[in-house]
Amino acid sequence: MRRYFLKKISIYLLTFWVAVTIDWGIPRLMPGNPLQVFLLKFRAQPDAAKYLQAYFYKAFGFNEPLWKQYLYYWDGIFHWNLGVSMFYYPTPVATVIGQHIFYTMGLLVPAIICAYFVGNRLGAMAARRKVLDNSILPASYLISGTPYQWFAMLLAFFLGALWHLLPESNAFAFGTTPVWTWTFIGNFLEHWILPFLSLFFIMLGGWAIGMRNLIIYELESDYAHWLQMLGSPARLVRRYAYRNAVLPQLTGLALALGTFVAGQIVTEIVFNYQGVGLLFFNAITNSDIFLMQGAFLLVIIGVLVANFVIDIVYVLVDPRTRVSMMGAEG
Amino acid sequence: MFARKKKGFLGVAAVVLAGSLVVPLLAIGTTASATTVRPHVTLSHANTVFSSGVMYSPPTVWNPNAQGSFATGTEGFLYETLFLYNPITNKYIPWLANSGKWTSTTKYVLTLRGGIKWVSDVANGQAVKGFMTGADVVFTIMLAKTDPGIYYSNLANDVSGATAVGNTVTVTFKHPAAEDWQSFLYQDPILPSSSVYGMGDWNNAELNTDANAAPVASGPMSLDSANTNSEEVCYTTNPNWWGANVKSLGNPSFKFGHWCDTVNSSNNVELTDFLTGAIDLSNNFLPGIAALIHAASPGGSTYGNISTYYPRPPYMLSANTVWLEPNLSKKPMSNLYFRKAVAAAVNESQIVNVDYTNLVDASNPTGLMPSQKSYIDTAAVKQYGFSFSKATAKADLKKSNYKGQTVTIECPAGWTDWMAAINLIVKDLKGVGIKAEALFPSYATRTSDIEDGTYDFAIDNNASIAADPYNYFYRMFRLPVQKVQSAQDNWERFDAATVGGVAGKAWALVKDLNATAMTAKTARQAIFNKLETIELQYLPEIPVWYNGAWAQYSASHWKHWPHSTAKGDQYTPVMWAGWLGQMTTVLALAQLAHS
Amino acid sequence: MSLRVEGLKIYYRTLYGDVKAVDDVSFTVDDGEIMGIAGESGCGKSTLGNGIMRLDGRMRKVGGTVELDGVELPIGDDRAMDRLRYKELSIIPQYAMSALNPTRRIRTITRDLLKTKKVRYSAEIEEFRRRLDLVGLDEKVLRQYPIELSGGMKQRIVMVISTLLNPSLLIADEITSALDVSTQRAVGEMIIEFRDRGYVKSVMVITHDLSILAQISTTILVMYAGKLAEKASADTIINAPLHPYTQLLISSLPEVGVRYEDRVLSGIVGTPPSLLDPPEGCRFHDRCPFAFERCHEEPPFDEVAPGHFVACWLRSKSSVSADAAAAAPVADGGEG
Repeated sequence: MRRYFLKKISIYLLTFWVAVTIDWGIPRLMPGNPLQVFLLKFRAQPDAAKYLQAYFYKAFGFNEPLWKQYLYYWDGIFHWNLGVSMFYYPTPVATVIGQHIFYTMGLLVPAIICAYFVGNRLGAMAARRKVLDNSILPASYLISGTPYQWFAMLLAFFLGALWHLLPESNAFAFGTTPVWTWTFIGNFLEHWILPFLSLFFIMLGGWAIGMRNLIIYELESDYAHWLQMLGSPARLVRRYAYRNAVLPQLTGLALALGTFVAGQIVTEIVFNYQGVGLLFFNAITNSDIFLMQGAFLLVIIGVLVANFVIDIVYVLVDPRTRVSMMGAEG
Repeated sequence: MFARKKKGFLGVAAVVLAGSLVVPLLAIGTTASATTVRPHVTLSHANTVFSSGVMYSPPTVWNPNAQGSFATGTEGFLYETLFLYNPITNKYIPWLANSGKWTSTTKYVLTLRGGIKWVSDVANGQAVKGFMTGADVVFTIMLAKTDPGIYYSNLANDVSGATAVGNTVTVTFKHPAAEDWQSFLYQDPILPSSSVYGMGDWNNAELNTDANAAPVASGPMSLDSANTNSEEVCYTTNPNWWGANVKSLGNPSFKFGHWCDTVNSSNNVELTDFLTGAIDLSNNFLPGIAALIHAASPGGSTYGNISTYYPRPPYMLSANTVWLEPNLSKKPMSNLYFRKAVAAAVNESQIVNVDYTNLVDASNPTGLMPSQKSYIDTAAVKQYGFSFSKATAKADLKKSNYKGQTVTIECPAGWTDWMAAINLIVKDLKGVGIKAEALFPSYATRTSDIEDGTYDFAIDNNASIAADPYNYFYRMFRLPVQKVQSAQDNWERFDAATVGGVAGKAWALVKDLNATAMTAKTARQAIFNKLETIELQYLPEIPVWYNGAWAQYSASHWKHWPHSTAKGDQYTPVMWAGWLGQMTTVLALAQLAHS
Repeated sequence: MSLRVEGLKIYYRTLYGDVKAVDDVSFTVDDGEIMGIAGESGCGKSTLGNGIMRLDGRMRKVGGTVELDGVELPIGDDRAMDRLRYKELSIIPQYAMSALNPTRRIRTITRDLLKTKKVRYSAEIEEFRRRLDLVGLDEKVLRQYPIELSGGMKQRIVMVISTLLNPSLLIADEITSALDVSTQRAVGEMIIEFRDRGYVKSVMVITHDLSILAQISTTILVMYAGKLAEKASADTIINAPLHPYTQLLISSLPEVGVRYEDRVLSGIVGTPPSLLDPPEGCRFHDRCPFAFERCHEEPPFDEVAPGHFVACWLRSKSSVSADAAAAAPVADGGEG
């Protein structure tokens, strides 16, 4: 067991190193000069522009040789100092991400988890009877193929703009301040419902389809047949099949949760929800390489942590992996 | 262990689900306003005005020297200028200064009003820090010399010194610099010189880049940090403001207690926010808004009492001239007849009608804005001006020996109205036989294309409204042309290499303007006429239309918005930088009353 | 009591028509009897055994009755059969080694199964342990997962679990096919033991392996192409079979310890007929060395001697040609 985990951890560390290197390198390989774009904001006269350019060239560390910038970046990671954002200047990247990450977290994590549970149940139901299958499966294909932004705009238009049932933009109303009070929480939840629904409905389609296929596979297995031969009620067979089918879904869940840090750009744009997706969008369109690096670093960490967690959880949850890891005790 | 696994897993999932809502809420709540001294107040629409259309990123900077990155209100609500300019009446209005004049061609004397207070954090009860004196004005002027990175550092070439006696300030110049000084008077806010509460002890890096999150300023509002967050910047009305005491300005004071300017997102969100009444003043470009405006009197009701400055097309005041900007250092743009062909090929009214649904006006061939009508040399326009004519375009094209190269026209991706305009222009050009292609790179790439001089044509609207066309021609003719044109002047690279001696002549004329007194109207008009003639003859830029000062307002909560027919309310309704602090928006806001 | 099958017909529905896998089959199995069902692949023996237990989606009961202990089994009605399954009749499936849910411990699987029959695990645990011990398994397997056990262990566990509620009828479907010879012997002895101890009343052992049947079964039923060929005591089948098919089957078995230097193992020429469109009359007649004109008519499954049934005109009492019967020699049998 220990050797298994040690090997896993060393692979993860290696992956982390390679991913961070690529993360650092890619923004610098993108076309366009980020400093030029940044200075354009200042609308300075040529003399002032030259001065400011010299100042910021140094301030952002571009005067150092590339390998030094690379090492500074690593040093920054260990101190959680990801540099200063150019688009949100002068706010540090870590602060910018910190201000936005929780909105995304509050939106995506519940959506993923709810979609997971409801989708799995729907998929299991579809595998029960042909009639259900013939309705749930095509419906699942339909909703999982729906573009997020289109559905989000539908919700925003009908439920928000037209019928005024729910607010259709922003994370909280103008004039409210995010502090830990009941008014804010109520306001936040009110604004949270539509973006949450727009994600939840579409995500559950994918889970339903996957689960339906996995359950059909399980229902064809030998143990299911034996149970049926021995007169077990369909309930027991379904329960066993569900528990076995859900195991691969767990991997999918962990990956989905791990990548929540990337945010959902189109949803956040349609609802103007100040999350990490918007950060990505702004960072890329404005050539803010430090913010790009920081945001992608977050995704790297999220994915690796999620994978690691699922490695552990899977060992605990599926006896087959545990045994094959330890060696069968005949 | 496994028997409990089922409940265990569901339990874990429930905890994660709840946590994923509670943890963010907690985090948001505790990290957001770290500077709250007293419990914040949720701002009600009864006492607050909400606006949008200015900021595209969350407010983080209130330093007026960080041009382009400071939040709405930094200039206008917080920091103020000596004079204001009203483009509608084409008049300067004494603001912080109550008078100023040239006592000689190289000496300018102004008197500051009395009773202007430097104030900070009104929302939390911390108020008056000190009074504004001539020393603050001198401090601000002299920064041009001591801080090479400050945005008005070019003033250092003109000013030799400034002194203050009480509230009277005397500025001496090395040589006549009427235009540069005029720009300073109404565009550059006065900074606090105190080393205790002001910027007196700041070094250059701080002056240029510090966030200034606890601003000490003189303006009608004070920053409300508790209510400022990633969605909006909020201000509290400053009861200590000097404006209420000035009879000649009409004793302006704000009848609202708070103002919040919100961060923009996509068009559909802005439109819905505006139509549902969440936003009172929208300075966004909302295509098609004309359809919702009642053609009758202001405040007329169709959809939530929407109105604009004009009740009829173009509905909006003009903000700047949009140029089809050729890169004169490249062929075939360097060929004059080719430029003439392009100018004649563009169907401006189609862009105005189709792309902008009449929210803008087609421009005069000189590109000078409607408020500068009096400066237009109509004879020169008649003689040299271009107009839409396919026949002329084809004839000019032939004369240009156009070899059939494809030219690209660029604008940043996502600027949809410009993208649509470019598509129309491409069609127009193809219609006369010019091979043209639209290009929509990212903002960064388009910027470097222009600054590096690798583009063919671009859409550019850098020439903003001003009292006279000085800065218009400054932007057009400034020399020398650098390898990387990082300042937003002469992007088209009109220099000796491309047009010969006339480039030097034009720039010399611009410098002449600076040297000519503002009062010498005839002399100045003569120079303007010469500049316009050069412009029309050589077509360094091809003006197409005037972009609007987009402003639509809803009377759902607040009324008495600016309107062309409303006496005493002909002020600018725009919150953009360059307008709120420099033009008459503050006076417009002082007219607002609760609906 | 016993099992009585009358005229059972089970067909498979296919796109091309019905495959007549079990076509008008009648036999009985008495209490205490271990009946082996033998035949080559595709003869219908598995369909017979599994069909009695549970008709899967493709099978259809077209006719006939099945009675267990005097009560008719409603094998066409899945729901009704559920009440009887596991309690009155049980099965050790062909895939016994993979019949255990890999993610559940043995005791959990047993507990869940017993619960479906409203039996409390705690009440049965002693008996369960005893039976496990009987088949040579330590009680610690209860806490283990199937993946931690070998194939043979899993099969034994499945055998024990399947018979835990002492069913009247046990159907054992190819339980020795995947095993080595010594394990085959052990499993065979287990079946006998179960019967002797009364854990099960009667057993149907389905296999293609006649040698195992010779060891453990009381009677042997030989099937061919969906129909019964011969049924008699194991001894008789092995040593004195009457049906030509059985005779050829027996003679095609190699003898242990015998070396043939100049004789080739005789097999049976040809292949079984398609059950989609079976031939008229005796289904073996085109491969039978003794076929004659009568064989175009289907022979009845007659009891030619007490407990000895044959479906062949050569042996049938109602056969016209007694000379043919007298002329047909009794074939050499292999060793029993």
